[in-house]
This record gives sequence, C-alpha cells and structure tokens, in this order.
Amino acid sequence: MISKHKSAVYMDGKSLLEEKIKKKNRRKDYLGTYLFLTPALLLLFTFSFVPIIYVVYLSFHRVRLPDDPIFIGIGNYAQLMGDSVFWRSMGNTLIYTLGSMSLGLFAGLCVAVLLNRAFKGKRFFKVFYFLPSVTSDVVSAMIFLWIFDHNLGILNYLLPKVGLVEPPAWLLDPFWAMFILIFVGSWRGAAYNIPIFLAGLEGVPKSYYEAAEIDGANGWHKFWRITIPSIMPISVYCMVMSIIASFQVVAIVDVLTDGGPDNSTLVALKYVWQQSFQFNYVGYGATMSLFIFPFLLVMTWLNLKLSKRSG
Amino acid sequence: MQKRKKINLIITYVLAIFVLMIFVGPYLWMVATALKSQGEVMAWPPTIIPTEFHFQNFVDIWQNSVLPRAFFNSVIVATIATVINVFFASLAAFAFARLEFPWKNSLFLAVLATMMIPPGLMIVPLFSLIRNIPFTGPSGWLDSYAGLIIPTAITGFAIFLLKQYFMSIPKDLDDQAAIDGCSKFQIYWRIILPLSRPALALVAIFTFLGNWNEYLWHLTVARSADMYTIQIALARFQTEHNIEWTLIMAGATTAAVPMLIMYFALQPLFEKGLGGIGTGMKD
Amino acid sequence: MKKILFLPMILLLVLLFAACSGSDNEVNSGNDDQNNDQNNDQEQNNDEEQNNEQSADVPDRDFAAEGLPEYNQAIGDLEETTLEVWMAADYIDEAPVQDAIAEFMEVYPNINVETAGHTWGDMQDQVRLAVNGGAPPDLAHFHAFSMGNQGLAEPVDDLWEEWGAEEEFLPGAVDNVTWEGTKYGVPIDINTTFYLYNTEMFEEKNLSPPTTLEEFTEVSIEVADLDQGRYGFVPAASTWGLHGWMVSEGAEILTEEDGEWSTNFTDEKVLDVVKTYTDIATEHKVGPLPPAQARQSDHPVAMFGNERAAAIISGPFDISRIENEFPEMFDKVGTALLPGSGKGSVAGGGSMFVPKDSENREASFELMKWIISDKYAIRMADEMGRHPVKAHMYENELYADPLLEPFIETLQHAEQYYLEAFPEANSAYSDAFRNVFDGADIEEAFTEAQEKAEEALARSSNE
Repeated sequence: MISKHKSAVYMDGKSLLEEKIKKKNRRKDYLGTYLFLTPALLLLFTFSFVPIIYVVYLSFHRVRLPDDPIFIGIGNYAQLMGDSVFWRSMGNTLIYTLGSMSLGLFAGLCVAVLLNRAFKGKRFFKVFYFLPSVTSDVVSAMIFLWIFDHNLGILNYLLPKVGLVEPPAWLLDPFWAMFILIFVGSWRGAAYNIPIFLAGLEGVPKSYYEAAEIDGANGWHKFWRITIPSIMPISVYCMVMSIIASFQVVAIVDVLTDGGPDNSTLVALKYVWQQSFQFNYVGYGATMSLFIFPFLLVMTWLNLKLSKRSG
Repeated sequence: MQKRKKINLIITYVLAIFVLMIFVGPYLWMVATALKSQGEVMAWPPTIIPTEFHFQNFVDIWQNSVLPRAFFNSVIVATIATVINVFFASLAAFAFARLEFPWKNSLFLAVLATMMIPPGLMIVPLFSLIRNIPFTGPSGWLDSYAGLIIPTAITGFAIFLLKQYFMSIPKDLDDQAAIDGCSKFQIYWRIILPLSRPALALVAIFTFLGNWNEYLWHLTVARSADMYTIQIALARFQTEHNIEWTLIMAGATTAAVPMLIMYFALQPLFEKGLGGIGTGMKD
Repeated sequence: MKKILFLPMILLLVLLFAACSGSDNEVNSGNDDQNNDQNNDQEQNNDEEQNNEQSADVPDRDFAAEGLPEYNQAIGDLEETTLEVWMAADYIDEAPVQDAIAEFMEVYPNINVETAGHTWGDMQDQVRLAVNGGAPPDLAHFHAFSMGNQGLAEPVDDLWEEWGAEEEFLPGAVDNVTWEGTKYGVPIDINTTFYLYNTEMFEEKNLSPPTTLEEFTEVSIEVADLDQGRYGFVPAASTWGLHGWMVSEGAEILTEEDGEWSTNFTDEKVLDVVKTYTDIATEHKVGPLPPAQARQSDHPVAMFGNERAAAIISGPFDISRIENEFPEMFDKVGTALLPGSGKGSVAGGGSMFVPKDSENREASFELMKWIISDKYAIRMADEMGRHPVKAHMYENELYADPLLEPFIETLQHAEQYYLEAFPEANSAYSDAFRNVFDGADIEEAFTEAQEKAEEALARSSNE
C-alpha cells in the first residue's frame, strides 16, 4: 500500500490534507475529530479530574478520616509555606529527579545506540536489558538492599577481600544513600528508556542516512544531524516521563533508606504519604500534592517548548 | 576495512556483555535467593550460588492459597486493560498528532496533567467514585474486574507516547492518502497504525507491565481473595515480624517470566516500524 | 480491506460487554444475594417448625468441654448474614483460624463468613479507607486500642459484659483493645520481648546474662570479640523493641491524666535507657549500627543466628525462626529477662475489632470468641507460634519449654506500646531514636521530639 503511493511521497504537497480539510464543512469535521477523542478522554478525565477536583476541595479543609471535613480556608496552604520539612523533601526530590533522569536518559540512549548496530544475538540482549523494568520497584529495591546493606549485604562482604578494609555503611551515609537511590532509579529508568529510544532509532528512515552518506557525512555527523533530530519527539517523551516517574518515587526510598539518614533522602511523595495516611492529615496531604502538580506541569511545558524550538 | 569491522564487532560485544552484567547481575541474585532456604538468605558469609537448590520454593508459591488465582486475575486484568488502552489511546493520539480542533493544546496539556497527580492521593476520592458508579450493585465496582480495569485502563502516557511517535511519521504519507480519498479513520487505520507498530508494541508492553505491577489500586478495589492480583499476593509474604524472602523472590521471578515472554514475542514488531519506509521509498 | 475495520469494532464491543458484564455481575450477584435472602427467608419460614426442633438440637453438644464458647441463641436467631472478615494474611491463611471459622459456620448456619487476608502494614489504611467510603468489613485485625482512638472501631463494652470472661484474660492483652476505659475488640494473641543469648559464647567468657543496665553494658563489651567479627549485642532502631526496656526500667514515655495525654521523652530515665542502648553501637562499638529501613526484624536474627553476635532482644516468634533458619546453632540459645530493674516488658500481638458502622457487630463479636476459644487458641500456639491471651492456657505442656520461661514470666507485667495510637508523636520519637544511632546528640534529639510530640498532641486534642 505504501509503495503504491511512493511516487507521491516526494511531492511537494506540504499540506494537501489541510487544504482538503478546508474545503469540507469545518464543524462537521470537528465532530468527527471528537469521535476519535471521546472514548479515551472521557474515561481518562472521569477517573483523573473528578478525583483531582476532590483533592482541591480537600486542600481547603482539615480532614481526619473518618470524620467529616472542616473548612479551614487557606490554612493548609499557610502551613505549607512554613513547613521546612516539605521544602527539604522537595529539594531532595529535585536532586533525585535530576540525577536519575539524566543518568537514565544518557545510559538508555547509549545502550539503544549500541543495540541499533547490527550484530548477532541482538534479540537476546534486548530482552534481558528490559529486565530491570519488568520487576516491581519494591522487589528491585529489595534486591539492592541485600547488596548495599552494611551488615548483611554482599558488597561489604566482598570489598574487604579486595583490600578496602573499612567500606562505608552505604545507606546510613547521606551522600551514598542518595547516590544509591539515584543509581537504582536510573537503572530501572534506563531499562525503560532503551526500547523507546530503540523504537525511535528504528523509525529513522534509512534513506535519510543514505542521502547524508552521498553528501559525505561521517558517523558522528549523521548522529547529530539526523539521528538526534529524528528521535527528538520520542526523547521528549522519555524526558517528561522520567521527570514524572522520578518525582513520584516512594517505593525505592521506603525499602532502602526510609527517608534517612536524618531526612536526607526524604522525598516529597513519601512526606505527602506520611502526612496523609500515617498521620491522617488528608487535607494537608492534598495541599502538598497540589503543590507538586504545577511544578511538574511547568517542567513538562518547558520541556515541550524547548523541544519545539530545537526541532 | 575488514579488520576495522571486526574490531568494531568485538567492541560491540564487549560493551553489550558489560551492560548485560549491570542489568542482569542483580537479578541473578533474585533467582539465587528464590532457590535458597530462608536460613541461607540470612547466612554469613553470604552465598551467591545456593549450596542446596530448593526448587520446592517454586512449588510452595503455587500451593499458596491466593497466588494461582491472583496470577490468573493479573493476566486477565492486564490483557484487557492493554487492549483498551492501545486502541483508544491511539485513536486519541491520532487526533492530537494529525487533526486540528479547538482547545487542542489545552486538552493535550490536560492529558499530560493526568499523569502528574500522585496516584496514592487519588485513592480516597476514587474509592468513593467507583463505589457509586451508577447502575451497579450496592458496592459499585468494588471487588470486580471492572473496578480493577476501567479506572486505570486509559493512560496519559500512552496517548503522549503515541502522539509523539505519530508526529515523527512524515506527513506526506497521509496527504497522499487524503488525495486518494481516504477518510480520516482510514488514514489512521491504514497508514498511521501499520507504521507505528514499534510504538504500539511499546504501549502494549508498558500498559501490561503497569497493570502487572500495580499494587495500591488493586488493593483498594479487591476486597475478597478472589479478586487479588499478583502484587497483592506477593506482598502477603511480608508479615509483621518476618519477610519470607525466598518466597517473595520465587514469586517475583515467576511473575517476571510472562513479561519477558511477551517482550520477546513482540520483538518482530519493533523491526517493522518507520524504518521500513526508507527501503520502501528507495526502490 | 474494509472488513478489517470491523475487527476492532467487534473487539471493542466485546470489551464493552465484558466490562459491563463485570458490573452487571455485580448487580446480578447483588440481586442473587437478595433472592437468596428471600429464598432463605422462605425456607426459614417453611423450616420454622423443624427449626424449633433443630434449635433445641444444637445446644445439645457440650461446647464447654470441647473448649468452645457456649451456643448463643441470639446469634442463632439472626437473619442470614454474611460477615466480611479481614485479617493479617499470616493468620487467615492458617488452618487453626480457618477451622475455627468453618466450625463457627457449622454451628451457626445462618452466618456466612467471607475472609480476606491483608498485609499487616496495610491494614490500618485499608480499614480507614473502607470505613470512610461507607463500606466497612465486619471484622478486622490490628491494634484495637489504636483503631478505637481514631474512631475506626465500634465500642464493644456491652458485649464483653454479656460474655463475662474478662478475668480469664492477661491484663496486657486486654490493654490491646482498651482505649481510655472503653473496649474496642478482642485480643487474638500476645507476645513480649526478652533477652536471647548464645550460651556457648557466654560460657567461654564465664559470663551470665545481665540483670541491670550497667551489667548489660559490661557484659556486652566483654562478650564481644571484634577481631573475630563477633559483636556483643545487636541493637535495633525499633521503638517498640525499646519499649520493653522502658517498661522494665520503669520509664514512662506517655502518661494520661483525666483524658489528657502527655509525652515525657526528656525524662531522665528515658534518656538513660536510650543512652545505654545506643551506646553499644555508637560509643562502645560492640554492636552494629541498625539498618536504615523501617523494618528492623531481620538484622538481629541474622546476626545472632550466624553467631556474629552474642545476644539480641526479641520475642517468642524469633525462637521458632532461629530454630527453622539456623538449626545448627539452636541448641546454644539461652533466654533471660530483659536487663533492668523491673520485671516488665512490652506487649505485642494484635486484636480483632468491629470496624465503625459495620451492621453485624454481635455476630462478629461471637466469631471473635470462637477464634480465641481454648480449642483453637492452643492450636494457634502450637501450629502458628501465636501465643494465647487467656492466662489459664499457659498451664498447657506447650509452655513447659525452658526457653519460654522469661516470656511467661514477663507476660504478667507486659505493657502495650500506647504511643502507637499517636502516630505523629510516635514518629517524632522514633526519628529521634534513629538519629541518635546516626550520630545525633541524645538530649537535643529527644528535646526536639518532645516539642514536636507536644504540638501534635495539642493539635489532636483541639479537634
């Protein structure tokens, strides 16, 4: 079917489709468009925005389940401004997010480029590279617990054998604890990103490379001039998803450090979780999550804007 | 030239194996733990390869009261959710990528926004919402497959990923189809979908995976053991004073197998994406 | 080609049907239930004459001799009801609990019991969500005192009075269901903590288990052999575990006066216990630093079982764990009372309660009686290692085990860790304790915790 129209593909018909649309009745056209959108958006918005509206409602109330909410105006918001632990947790989350996002994207892209080369047994490697994202985050974190634990872990058993006599108590040291969280997060993140980048790489039309070769471009040139721009939309996806996923990290922290030592790995959502469920301040928890929300929205929007410009 | 190729190939393999060690190494520990006795998990010095292989652990988890049923439920839930998501999300993504309509950008930002509210906090309102779904029984969708599947079936990430991928498909293709008299749905169905196989496969895998690893939502909906899903069954190996490490790891190892098989099976789809256009156009 | 278009459409329709039928099933099953109810009502009406004979039949069994509660006519006369029972997975999956429920249903055929096992750590959130959403189960399992304090449990004082069995219970167990004088449930099992030590290592150095805090420090230092990689004692950053010491030493972290609760984290005795305990790791370095995680239960057992440490503090649950996981060193295990000036310890274990707004309070309470009846309590002890809440059960030969001696001795003086009912204050206290291990100054850490706890308590009493 595609080859049937191949001669037309190169036609300089920039927006023939748009022109065709113009001829049609616009209103009727939108109706058709909304048919594409309605089923998905109806389900998605019902089960996302109805709860979000409720979360907004909760944020203006003192809520101690199972009692009825008591309206307290902007009380929760005022409390939030002065809550140093929350801001600390936001800072920690930011560090974690930047760390695990950049490491996860970089590693993911490198491995995808590697896998995009022709060699035997590629499929085997591909499947196993996906492993870290297959298992739930709780179980993955448990695995690393048995590696990094300072009393029972295998790392501190092996290190003295190779001459490092006093290895640190990894998860009890503020620096190493955060480092390990970032490592585990980007380990999972990279595995998640690899197939996406790979799909993007596979998607770059081979004729582009061939055309570039005729123009005498070398490998590096081809990568920067063709590969990167071609996979830009999909990279934006990876970036945004990494930010969102990293911002919502809880399980890894719960299993490995429990927010310690001295709150140095307390991430925002863990704090929100603690306040809303452990302490039953559901209203305050709602307020905090509403604060994380615009933060993510701005980051996402910036990402989309930047990618548009560079594209 | 030949020699350089050979060196290149060797470097490729060395790197591939190095990456393999990083990604798979920790999992070997998981599998090893699944084969140890609970005492050996705790043993010092730690053992890497079990001194005695307890295949019994893998038998034990299947004799567990809830795990087999939970495994089955997870397959059902993840499969149905995946089909729903791939189909409807791709329709919506097509609209966002190719069609013009009022409020397009705002609606798309709203889709992105749905991914950003932490799922944990939606539990309280969602519980009330699904309990009060109209035209259902007294407990609504609580403790039903509908409750497990529908509220989380469509994901913003799927719409987002597919839209991004659709955008990388040259627009000339659908312009030509439009000239040939294809309707919008035909363009979606005959041109965009076949060219987007890798992305569709990705969405399928990630949706399946997301449902497979879902814990909190399933825990909220499932009230009877008949509705438990795999992660709930695994969490039950953690008790107040003890964690059954060997059983958790045996369960997690088992739970990873269907995912890997699915990923392996979908591999051919990844190779039939846009890359094909290039060759198509060349001749 | 166009035919292909129909494929997703059909698929879609099938899906929608599948989804709808899921909910339809709900409706139907709801209707079915109602139909059943009606049918059963009719049956009951039809059977009434027979029933009169039958109900004379049922109590014919000698329930007391079997170690079961007496037949309760009020429950037998109830309409068809279904009880939704939520218990920790490691209780509900076990034969003694299942058998108790099965026999209960046999004796009261009008009561149907549906069980679900939850993870212990999720129970509180799950109950809160269900109560708030207006769909509570009829029986759940946690610390009833804490659920009562949060308004998540129905008071059951009247049912206890009717039952009249309170004197059979260990006082520490009843505390688990009591909040400010009101009972909110029935305790299911109890445990306490005591000192476990490696007799071989102690004999080697000619030592005996410590009886006071000073001795504890001395003995821990002396028995340690750091060159051999052997620690003297393994501290855990668990405030529940620490509480045994507090009780034993007579330090009160939480006091009540006329319904006013206050914390005394900066009490001299409290700080003294904390200092003695944490110094083992931070000052004398004869104990390892506890891990960072909230869960602290693996380390002590693993270190002790591998003979990397000479002593730990734990409960009876870890005796069987050591026996299973480290059989080769089990014969070296010795037990003693907690070091301290008193005899007490912390009481653990859980209780069953009726979640707020459940409509089947009476039937649910009756089921609780069955689950902890002598017949099944002894099976729980024997098969599950969950120890009974009634004092006379400890006359059983099961408790002739010398390793359990300190456990049985402390049972009489075991106290609940009530701070758990104030999650925020508890968290401040736990954080302070943890931070001391990570190098914080004891006095500063606990002063800060005290301030936070005072604020939190003031906030909750304002409501």
